[in-house]
Amino acid sequence: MRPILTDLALGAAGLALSWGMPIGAPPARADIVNTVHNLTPGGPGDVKNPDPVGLCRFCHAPHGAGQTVALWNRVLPTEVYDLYESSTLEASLGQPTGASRLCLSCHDGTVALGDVINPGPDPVAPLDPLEGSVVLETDLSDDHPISFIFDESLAARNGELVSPSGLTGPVKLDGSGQVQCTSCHDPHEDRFPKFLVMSNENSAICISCHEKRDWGDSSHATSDADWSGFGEDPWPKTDFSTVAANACLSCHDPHSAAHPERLLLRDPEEQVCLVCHSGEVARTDLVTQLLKPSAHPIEETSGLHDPRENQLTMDRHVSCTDCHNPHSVSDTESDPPSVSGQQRNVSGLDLSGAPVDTAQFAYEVCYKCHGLAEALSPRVVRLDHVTNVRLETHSGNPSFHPVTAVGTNPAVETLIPPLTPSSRIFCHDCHNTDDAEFPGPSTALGPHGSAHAPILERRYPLVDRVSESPATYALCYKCHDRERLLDDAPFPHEKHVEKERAPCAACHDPHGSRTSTHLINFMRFDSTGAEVVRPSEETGRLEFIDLGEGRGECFLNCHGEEHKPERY
Amino acid sequence: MKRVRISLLLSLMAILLSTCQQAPLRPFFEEKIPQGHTRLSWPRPPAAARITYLTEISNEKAFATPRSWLRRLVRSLWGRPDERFVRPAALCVREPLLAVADPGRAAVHLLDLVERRWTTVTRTPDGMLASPVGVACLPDGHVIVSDSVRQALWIYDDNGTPKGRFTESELQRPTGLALDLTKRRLWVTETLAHRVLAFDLTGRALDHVGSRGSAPGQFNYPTMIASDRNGGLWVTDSLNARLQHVDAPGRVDRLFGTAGDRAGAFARPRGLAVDTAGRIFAVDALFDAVQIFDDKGNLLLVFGERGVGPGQFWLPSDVAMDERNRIYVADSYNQRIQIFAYHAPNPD
Repeated sequence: MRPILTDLALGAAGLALSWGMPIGAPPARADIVNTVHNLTPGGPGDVKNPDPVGLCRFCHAPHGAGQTVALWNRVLPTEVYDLYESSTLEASLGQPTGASRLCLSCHDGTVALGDVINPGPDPVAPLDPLEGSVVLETDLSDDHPISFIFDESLAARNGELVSPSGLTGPVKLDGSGQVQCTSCHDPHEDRFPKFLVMSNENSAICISCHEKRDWGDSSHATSDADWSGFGEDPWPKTDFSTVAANACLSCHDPHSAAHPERLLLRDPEEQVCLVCHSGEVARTDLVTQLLKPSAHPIEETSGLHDPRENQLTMDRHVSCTDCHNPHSVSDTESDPPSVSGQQRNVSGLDLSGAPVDTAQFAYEVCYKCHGLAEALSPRVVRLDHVTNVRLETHSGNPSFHPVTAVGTNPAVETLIPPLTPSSRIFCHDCHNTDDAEFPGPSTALGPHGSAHAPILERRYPLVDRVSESPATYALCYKCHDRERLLDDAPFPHEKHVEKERAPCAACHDPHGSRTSTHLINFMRFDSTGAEVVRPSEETGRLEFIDLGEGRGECFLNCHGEEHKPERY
Repeated sequence: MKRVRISLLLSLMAILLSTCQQAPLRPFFEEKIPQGHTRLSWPRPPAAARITYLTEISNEKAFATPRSWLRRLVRSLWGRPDERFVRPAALCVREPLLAVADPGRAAVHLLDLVERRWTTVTRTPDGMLASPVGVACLPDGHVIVSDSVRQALWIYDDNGTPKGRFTESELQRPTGLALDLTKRRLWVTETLAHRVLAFDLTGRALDHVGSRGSAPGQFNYPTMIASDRNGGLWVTDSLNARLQHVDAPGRVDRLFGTAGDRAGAFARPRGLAVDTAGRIFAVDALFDAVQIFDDKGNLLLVFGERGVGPGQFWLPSDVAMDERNRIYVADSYNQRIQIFAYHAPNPD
């Protein structure tokens, strides 16, 4: 029996603390009597007659209810029941131990609703294979795992967990160093919703253990964006109303997750992103972009991405998280070629073709797919028919658009200032949404989708015989001044492009040329399959020779014109 | 002489018949139980064995009839993946059917123990099962399932075809189910209403027993139930840590049990089964054991302990008994059903 004075003192302390708090804050110390875990008839439910007798025994069976004699068995082994022992048995992953057993023995769907934790499909999986950023790779469970040992070794293997020795706050391990239900929930006190040990605003509970790279200043940790009220409720399970306050829970669900692997809040996985990035929470609308005729097909390859995938052997796919790391993403801008905040901490493939865990340069992210192998469906056929973008744009080539290094031509007269021959560009300076020329407030920039294939910001014909106009080659004219280009000096562009109606792409390979300067790599067949440039009939040669000082000669046959060679 | 001829004729016919027929399928038990080895039994030797471990069922692959390579190939190309128990919570058995409610899988598994066929049901006529926590096996092979989240009772035929709701009554978290064949009625626990309801087998409500409280005849979160052979019903009164007996007319006439961590007490009492002599088999999830009592509440035997091996349990949740004194235990977090033989003492 607690002395009445102690009760008074505690009550006074509670009162004093609650006065110091903002209005609406929970009292400093709630009591289990006032929680739904008070299962006596006097609990906060139907009956109003407080009767605290036996309050504790619902969870904590009292010791020693007298020695019972079992009539069929002379001796009852005392070790039959080990109710309060922290189990040292070799628990399999998914088999609850310690305090979690007390929770799950009621939260089974009868006394209290269950679906709190499901064991995995393989009950004999040992604890050791836990590794990686998730431990659920072979586990169909849709709940956060419990009853596993969280030690320095696990933290080291995962790489994005705090040291367990640092868990000195409200989130704790049990006496045997295991994560249990009680690590996040305090069944005795419901000051915070769902009996949490502390407020999970800004995911304070989650980040007690999970230390995601650059999370602290990422948009998802700091944005005060809220929901417009239209479309699907982005936060159906929480009381928080901004991105920053919901934090992890904007995308993850610790219990009964719709997409069990990695405990994603929604299924299919792209819905996790698109519910907010539809203009209803995030300012910009990605849904519109992804529906454009040429787009990264995230819905077609849904579910294929795996954070642990080997980039060299993975099945070809694209998901939001291939190019963006939602734990690190930010609005920070960058100059080419460095990655911007949008692509912070994303894996890639470097210029040599080696996988990198963290791409430093934006093109490395694109190379992860487009620099790995030849294109699956090249639009045109060229003389040097290499379609691996990494090899095409390689800085060792005789010419290339200045993505991987400053270009090789020191005198590009047509460039519109402030561009100079030593400028660098991003892949997405050309491969961008067609809304980028005149962006509105909700325009999501970047190569998500465009009206112009292959995801090009402006028009760029890949067929032969098109009438030249400022609009026809709008993509090229974005950087190259049309007037100067058609000036016919030093090369007779006007004759070819305007009079003969040959597209820019007939002679130039915009990514780069592995054989010639000036991006020359003749188009043999256009995107309709029609033959464009073919070898000179008389000499059999199909070749461009750079004679230096703005001069060159071509061997070819095009539009019936024989060059054997023609010089300029 | 004539008799010899007749018997010869009969045996010839028998041979002919047996060659025409398919080889008879052997029940699951006969094939799975290794013969002649010393089995786990309780109480421990040298005491006379009352309970003997037989086998376990955990997944379809090990349970189902062995398939030819052709059927395996066809199945691997077009078939569904093998089923398994995820968190088996409740079961009923009426040979050859073993029905298992599995809220972890949000499904009911129907196992034909003779033909060794495994059917998993996830649908209701109007959607999906959410939290199936109770099953009852009707004599005609139909199965009734209680869903504690969708607050409904569903009826299925023995092929798993949904046949609709068992009753249109609104139920406050239906959980335990028990069939009373003496009066042809179905008992249903309404856990949140702290009472048990009786229905006739057409789904018409007949009666209810209990209200919230700790007095005799009152319940505090009643859950699993089991009928005895006299039209009575044992009820797990979970948060009063006791079992109460409802007699055939529907009055609570006796109860026993207390909260505690010793044998004979209850820490987290769950499913029940009653044998022909009225003995009660009571699962306790926190003890990881089954306690056997006589109908006056005297403890007879305890079997089981925590672990993952044979005869060990991890948060077990239900027990059932078939006509041949076999005991089935839903070993929920070990994701299996364990089966035991029960050597009932001769009536004395």
